[in-house]
Amino acid sequence: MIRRTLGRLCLLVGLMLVSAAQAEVLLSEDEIARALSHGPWPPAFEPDPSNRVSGLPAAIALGEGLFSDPVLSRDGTMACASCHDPAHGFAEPRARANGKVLLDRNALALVNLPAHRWFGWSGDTDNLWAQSLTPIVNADEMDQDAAGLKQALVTSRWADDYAAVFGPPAGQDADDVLVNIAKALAAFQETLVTGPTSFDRFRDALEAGDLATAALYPEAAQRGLKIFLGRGNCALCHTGPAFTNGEFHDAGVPYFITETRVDTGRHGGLEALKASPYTLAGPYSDDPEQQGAWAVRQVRPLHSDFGTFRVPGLRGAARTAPYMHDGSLADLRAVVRHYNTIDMERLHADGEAILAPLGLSATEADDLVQFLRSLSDDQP
Amino acid sequence: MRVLAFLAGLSAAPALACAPDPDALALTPEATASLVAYATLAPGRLSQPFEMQLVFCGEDAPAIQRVEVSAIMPAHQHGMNYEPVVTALDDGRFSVSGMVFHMPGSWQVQVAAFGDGEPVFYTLEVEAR
Ligand code: HEC
Ligand code: HEC
Repeated sequence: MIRRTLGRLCLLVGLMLVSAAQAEVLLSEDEIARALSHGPWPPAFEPDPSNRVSGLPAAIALGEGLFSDPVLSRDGTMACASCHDPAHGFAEPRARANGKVLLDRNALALVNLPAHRWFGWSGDTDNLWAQSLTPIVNADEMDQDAAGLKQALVTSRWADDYAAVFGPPAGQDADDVLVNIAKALAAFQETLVTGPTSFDRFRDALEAGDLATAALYPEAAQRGLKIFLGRGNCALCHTGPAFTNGEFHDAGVPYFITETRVDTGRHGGLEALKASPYTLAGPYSDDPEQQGAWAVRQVRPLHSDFGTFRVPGLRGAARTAPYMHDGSLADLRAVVRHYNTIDMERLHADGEAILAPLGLSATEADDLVQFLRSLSDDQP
Repeated sequence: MRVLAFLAGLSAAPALACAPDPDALALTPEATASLVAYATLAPGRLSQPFEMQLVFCGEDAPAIQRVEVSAIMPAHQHGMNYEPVVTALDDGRFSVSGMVFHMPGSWQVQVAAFGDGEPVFYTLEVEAR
């Protein structure tokens, strides 16, 4: 393998072309090749074939309106935005969401959702509209039912907008109205995509062979990226342009909610999925070809599912503290500390043998945090 | 096993039944096997499903009724999260869909071919990036 870093070459070019250039590209050729796999970003929009209003401007506008309107909850007090605050990256600052009761999990950030195959921390659903329907009818959240929702809709300010997208609700089955509303909410959420960041400018410059531009990416972030790709093993699970492989792993976060109650993670998620009528293989999908339904048909329950959670994407994450399925880590520093000093006792005994205390120095830990932040500087 | 033991002595597989793709990879049989097996696969992006074509070459290739496919990451003690679907074509060919490598690194594809006798096992090392 070629060990020479492009840095030297860059410095040379830099000295010749931009006299002020002091920074350099610190990555080896192998690291550059791996960094390229985390882009390009953002991906082109592709409509969801299971949702006939996906990408439709009128449906997106309706979904956006409904998202912030407590009319979807039975007692008219709770909106999607109550827990998914647009000012907090569509997550919320509290560790565990508060519905009718304190819920078990941290509200997921609603960005870059089309990158996922499974939704929720445990993948209870295989599509965005089904996941959007869940909180509406969950007794611990918005506590509505299909008939109540239809009633609330026809008397709300959204009745005409709904009719313009889906036809007059009056003659529609209440279950269909519920699914239609969820599909409008999904159409809106699909548009919540994070923008290109300083990492993307670095990555794109490397791809174009423009080392002078690449060298503008701070060296601390580059050193952090090297840890992310190498010693840290982070890129084994946080893969691809969205920094998630979309699957379920044990990251050593405790799954005990109380001393006697556990969050079974993917294990329970698969049970919910198998019981759901709202999958891509079910009658509510609008896709006659049932693209994507192979996953729910072929997914296999594994002994190791117990206490595993979906790998979160990392774009925009700097805006959405706290972290992990239970919101137990207050900031990105705490996340890096978690991986750096991971408690092996907490990992599945028969697990993947990936995570182990990293032994990063304070500076290295800072570098890794700088890299993680560089995935969120698309917004001020 | 009878047929296989008999065929083990023969060196050349009948050419007609077997024309693997130019970029097909030879599978490694667990023990001396009379059937040579090839796989054509091009895993694209990580975590995305891909297809694999299998071809068995040898006189008793048509006798294979069933093939089972799985894949593991030996370093991480886990397999695939999805059950691949195997479709039998003619001439000892099988098409496999729904393979998913969800992590970069070394994967070992494992193939079991069930014919008249004992099953024959093969492996193939694949690097996912
Ligand atoms: C009471 C707080 C609360 C309310 C209200 C709420 N959510 Fe959530 N949301 C959560 C929590 C907590 C999770 C994580 C759930 C899990 O993993 O089981 C979540 C997860 C999600 C996800 C999955 C995201 C992903 O990355 O997989 C989507 C989509 C979503 N919510 C959409 C909505 C919509 C649409 C509404 C309104 C109809 C809504 N939520 C209302 C708390 C809430
Ligand atoms: C074995 C797979 C795996 C590896 C390796 C891994 N992660 Fe994670 N990561 C996860 C999972 C799973 C979660 C969610 C865990 C939970 O909530 O229980 C997570 C959560 C996170 C979060 C919180 C995101 C959020 O929105 O809550 C951050 C940040 C993160 N990881 C960064 C890293 C970094 C940095 C590394 C390398 C030091 C790393 N991860 C290594 C699987 C992994």
